[in-house]
Amino acid sequence: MSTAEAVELLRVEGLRTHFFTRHGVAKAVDGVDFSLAKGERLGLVGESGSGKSVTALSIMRLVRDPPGRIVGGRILFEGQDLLALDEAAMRRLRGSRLSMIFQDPIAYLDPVMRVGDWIAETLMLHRGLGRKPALTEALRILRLLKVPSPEEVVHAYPFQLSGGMCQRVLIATAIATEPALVIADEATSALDVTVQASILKTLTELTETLGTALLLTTHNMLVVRKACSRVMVMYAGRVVESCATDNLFQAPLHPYTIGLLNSVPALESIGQPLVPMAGEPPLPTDTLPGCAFYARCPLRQSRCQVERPPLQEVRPGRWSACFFAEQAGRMRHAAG
Amino acid sequence: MAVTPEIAPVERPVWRPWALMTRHKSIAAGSAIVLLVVLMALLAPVLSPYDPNEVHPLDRLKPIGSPGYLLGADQQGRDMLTRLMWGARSSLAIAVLPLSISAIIGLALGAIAGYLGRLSETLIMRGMDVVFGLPPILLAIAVSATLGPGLVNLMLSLTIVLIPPMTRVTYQVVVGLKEQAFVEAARAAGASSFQIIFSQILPNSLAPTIAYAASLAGAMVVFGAGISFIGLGIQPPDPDWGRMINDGREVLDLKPHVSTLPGLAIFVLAAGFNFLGDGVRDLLDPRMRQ
Amino acid sequence: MLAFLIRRLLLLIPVLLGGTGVVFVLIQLAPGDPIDVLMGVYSSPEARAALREKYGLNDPAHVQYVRWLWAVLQGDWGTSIQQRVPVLPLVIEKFWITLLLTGAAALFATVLGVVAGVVSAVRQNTWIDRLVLVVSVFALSMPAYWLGLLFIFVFSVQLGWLPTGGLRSFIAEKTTLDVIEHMIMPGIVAGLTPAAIIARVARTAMLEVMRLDFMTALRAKGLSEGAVILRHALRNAAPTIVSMTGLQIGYLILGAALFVEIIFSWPGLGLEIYKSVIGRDMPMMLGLVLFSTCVFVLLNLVVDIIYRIINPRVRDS
Repeated sequence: MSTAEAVELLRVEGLRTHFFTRHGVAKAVDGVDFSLAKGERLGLVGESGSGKSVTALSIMRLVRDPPGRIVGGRILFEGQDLLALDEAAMRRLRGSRLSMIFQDPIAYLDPVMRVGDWIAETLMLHRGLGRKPALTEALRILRLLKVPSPEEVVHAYPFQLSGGMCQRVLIATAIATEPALVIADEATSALDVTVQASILKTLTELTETLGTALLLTTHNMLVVRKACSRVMVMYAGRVVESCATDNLFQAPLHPYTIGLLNSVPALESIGQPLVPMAGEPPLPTDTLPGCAFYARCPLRQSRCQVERPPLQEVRPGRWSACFFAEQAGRMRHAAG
Repeated sequence: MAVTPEIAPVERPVWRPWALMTRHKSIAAGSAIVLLVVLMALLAPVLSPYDPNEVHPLDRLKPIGSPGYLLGADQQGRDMLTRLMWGARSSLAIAVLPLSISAIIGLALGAIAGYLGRLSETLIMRGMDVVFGLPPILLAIAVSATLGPGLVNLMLSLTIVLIPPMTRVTYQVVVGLKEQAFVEAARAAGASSFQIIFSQILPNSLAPTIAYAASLAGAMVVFGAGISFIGLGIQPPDPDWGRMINDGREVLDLKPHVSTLPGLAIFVLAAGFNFLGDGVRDLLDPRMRQ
Repeated sequence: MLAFLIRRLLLLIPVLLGGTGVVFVLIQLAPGDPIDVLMGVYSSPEARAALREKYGLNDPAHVQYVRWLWAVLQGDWGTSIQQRVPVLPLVIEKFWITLLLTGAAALFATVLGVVAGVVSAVRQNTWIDRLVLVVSVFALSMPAYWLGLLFIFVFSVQLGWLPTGGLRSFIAEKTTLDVIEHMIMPGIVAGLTPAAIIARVARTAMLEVMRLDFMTALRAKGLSEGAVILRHALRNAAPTIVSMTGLQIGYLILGAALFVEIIFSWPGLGLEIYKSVIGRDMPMMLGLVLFSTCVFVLLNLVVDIIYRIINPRVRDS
């Protein structure tokens, strides 16, 4: 299924979110474009500080102001520009049409609220249910998520539950209102590997059943591979590569993606040494005229330092922000 | 095997007074006020126009701004300005000395109870519970009444009242410190309890205890003057702000300045100490910083 | 919970024994003689000796203490030397009068303090936050005995709006309104310092909670800012605020109110403590200390219980 035929759910155009700090303006997100179809699962990959989480928060309009502010762009969700909505209208969408789950599940639950009430709160707010019916519904959703002994879980406080269980509670909350889009921000990163797998499975199955789109941010390539049909790689506030997940793993077209793939263990590279990427990403407060990856890039030319490579469709359905995308593609083959 | 503690947890504040003043407005405001009162108290013998107990029967209850009496005179014709300047001495002593002495005692007791534990912990902390179980004002009044009037006795009773809370604060800090890696490291390196208390525990519990003491200085000014106000602290004719308020009560409806001015003095000095205390707490206790 | 209650109640015994013991020793050491106060310095030696015998003042201190303790356990708290009435009923009567004043002051302080603290935390670093901080420092620095005098001067002497003191008017009919009029000034004066302390604690506690991650999750659920603050942040800050408020009420009943009661002639425990100290009225003083300490410790216990109830992390773990 290609995005062109599918019904578009979300379109982000030229999104720029900056943080105004004492040390200067940090351009956490600096011109991000992408779109997401109904029911599609898109992965947003990058190191910490690449701007993936800020992109996610910007779509929810939950960037803390001050210091952060969305300074440009449009976020079209179900046809309306979220950035043009007033706060009350935005609140009606949050938790009902688009919802979010987070990295450290225990920290993202109210420590003094029973988790049943936490799930019910969303249902009471958006579906106008009373407390009793909302709790019954919460119990039903937990059963749907195959949570063991849900009757006990609803009466528990977050500190009495495991991290994985808390994440299931957050997922239950997120899908309780059958939203069109769920944003999962590093939703598995803080969990044990075994729990990670089962949470990912739950997420993919649920979104498939409900026809919900999923935007999943992660620094973990393997998570994307398991859960997403399409992937976007972010670096220093911009998208550097975007394509179908399989393509990315077979033939990446950006030197940064190659570096990322070489630094993580993968099925294809079993037996090969892992190559950590040299150098550090630029500071978000730096203003660079050229490519942000220049300092770390094995393919760099003098042109890259003065001119920023735009995100271009270098092959059908393959987007890369590198002047030497084809060379990059051959580089991966040489290495792998 | 020598184990060097890797963490150097004592963050010694760099002493740059000017930077402190500009960064922390409350320290600047507080120290300006306190400094002014200190100068007033020190220079009272030089600056004050009269002797604090000199009576002028003809000039009784002169209003503010009368010639020769900048801030008026009280019922016995004593100069208000002079008595306010001399009265600053007891208020400053009450604010500083009981807190310092009780902080030292509290540090010692808290460090012993917290670090050594066992019998010393039970004895010291349960003993403090008993004294702390009494409402502090009740205790202060009972001790003041027992010891009799006078500045020294007042300070002694305030010190006694302050020891339990000071000990508790230190104790809680020390119990927390005891578990920390650098103390364990010192213990593993073979340091004796005595060495650890002096080289690790005390230096690190100093900041929270000082911050706590600093936050109480303003309250001590108000409270100490209050004891004198109800007649248990400093006795006439010695000039004291709390006492002066009480002396002025009988003429409150006609000559309000006699009791209003010393009250204002207490308020201003207490505010100065409170601003200073807030600033010191922010500086020494990073958890409280915003 | 039950074990906790029993342990705390058992702990009451040494605290009460120690507290009264300390006060007993202090009174023994104190200069001055209750007989002087009662009969005057120039009374006849025979009369003085008779009175000493009557009150048992000739026995050694520890005998007096044990005798007093034994009697207290049987419900006999002794007789006030000054007022010549049984101590216990008098103390209880005075306690209710003090509770009336401090209850009003505590209510005023809690409402004002929590509202100011929450507003200042929500609007951190704005002018209103700075205003709350500066005003709270002023309120902390304000001597209650002086503010009381100022209030009397302005509102009673100059403006004539409110009575200068006492529990009720002598001539007017005994209405509730009359008592309320008498309560306004002492209530505000007594409540001001606790209000400032509660405001500062509430502000810090709210800021601590508002930093936490789950605030973002709440907003992501679509909750309004009001619901986020009141239903969740305040609920999380509540245990800290409650324990500080409880402590302040304890100090208020048994301490701060003393100055206020003296200034406004409010006939409660504080005024009674003051009179008994001045008059060296030992049975009265011991009774007051015992009673106050009981109230203080029980209040702390109640606060701890509430703290456990509203803090599931302590209660259920």
